[in-house]
Amino acid sequence: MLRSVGPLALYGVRAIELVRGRAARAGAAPAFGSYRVPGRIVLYEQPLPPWRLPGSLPPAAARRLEDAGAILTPLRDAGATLVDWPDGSLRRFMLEEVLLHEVGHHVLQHHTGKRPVRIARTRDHEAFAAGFAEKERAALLQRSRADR
Amino acid sequence: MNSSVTLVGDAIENPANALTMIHAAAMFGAACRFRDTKGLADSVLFAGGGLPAIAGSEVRALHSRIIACDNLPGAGDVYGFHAGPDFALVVGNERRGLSHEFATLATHRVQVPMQSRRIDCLNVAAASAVALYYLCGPRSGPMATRKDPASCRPDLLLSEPADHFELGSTIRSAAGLGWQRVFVEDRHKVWFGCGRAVRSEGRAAARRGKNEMLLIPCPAQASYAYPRVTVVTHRRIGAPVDRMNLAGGPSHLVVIPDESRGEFACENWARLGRKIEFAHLRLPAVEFPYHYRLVATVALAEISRQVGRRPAMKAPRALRPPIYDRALEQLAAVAGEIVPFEDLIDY
Repeated sequence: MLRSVGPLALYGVRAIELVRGRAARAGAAPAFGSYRVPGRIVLYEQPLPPWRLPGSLPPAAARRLEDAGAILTPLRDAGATLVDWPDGSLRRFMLEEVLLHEVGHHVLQHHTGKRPVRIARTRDHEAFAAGFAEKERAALLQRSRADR
Repeated sequence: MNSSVTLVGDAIENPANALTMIHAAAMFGAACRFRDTKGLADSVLFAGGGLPAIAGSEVRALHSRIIACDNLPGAGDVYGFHAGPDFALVVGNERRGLSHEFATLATHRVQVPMQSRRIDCLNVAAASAVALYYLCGPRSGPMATRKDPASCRPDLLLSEPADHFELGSTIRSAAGLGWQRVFVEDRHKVWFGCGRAVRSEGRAAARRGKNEMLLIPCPAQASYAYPRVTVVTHRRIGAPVDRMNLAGGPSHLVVIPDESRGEFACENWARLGRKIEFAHLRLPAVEFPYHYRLVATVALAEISRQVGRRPAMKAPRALRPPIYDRALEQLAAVAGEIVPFEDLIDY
């Protein structure tokens, strides 16, 4: 997948790390990944599905997980939400959504000056990363269809 | 003699400096001894075994506190330092400073803070006198901190210096402690209009090669109109210098007369300004061999302490590189359900 993104997007990436940590905290919102300037992409280890999350998810977040293939079951009596990831959908979500999103952060940050300073508002940074991930995901899908 | 305080000179080269250090120790009732590695004992001044010697191990055996006075790394200001009643003060060679042996032997490190970039140290005997004054003498506070210390620095008049070495060392001290200009009333012709030998020795003592001090000659018995004039002396006249405000700015004239010739009493001080006041250095000893540079440097150090320095600049903290987290949005809590207390048991 990284090959399909191309060398220009990955130029300057110092490390892509798979780390254990933030998702393990019980009751906390799971963290998927982060981009640490300069050039460090961190992907967090995720617990085995299904996940039992306290409360209910905001509609936008629920839609995003469902688009990635998750099955959300609200447990109204228990005040929780069950999130199941069937057939490797969690792996795909981490690669095609989270990793591409972090690469998008890197593309904006690295190609705007290579300095470890804030070069855009967080909101704009997130918007660019989301747009980049969306565009690359679409290109990836198109390429896989063409291969078939 | 205060046997609980010892001034130790480490590898002092100049016999005249060593002798002045002995006199500086006498001003404070302290003993003075030397670690002689430069042949000081063979000099004319100490011929016949007159040099009190000491080794590093002896210093450690005599005193539990060994205070190094040098601009070593980590040295604190001598102002406000509480030394206690029993200590050894160690000062180093004129050019090289303290030896490694004595620097490692020291339990504490102090320095006289310099205000000049070009003159970064005092004469060794003058520095010893300043250190002993603040370590043995009255308790004083730390150096003042001001936004604009130059506006509080008084004018300085060195009156009737009798010796060119002493005057040169005093000019060096004044430059090192932050003065840009000094008035000199050179009645005995030891600085202006003197012979070539005297001139070169005096200039060398003042480190004139790098000392950019402006020296303004003043005619003898000239009159001035300073609103406030303070005459600093070692005699017990007036208030102690540490109890007086000597940071009065350029409208305040501080006069440090050379009292080695005994002309102090018959001097007409009223000619200098409207309000004349006297201040004295609180020295433990009453009788001691007088050196103009010692008394003047102690007085200048006290004025410099009161005048203060600019606050240290804070280094700007490096900005933390940004981190962009990707996490599930804050989970919305489920709307609660109100259960009456009676129904809670059966809930």
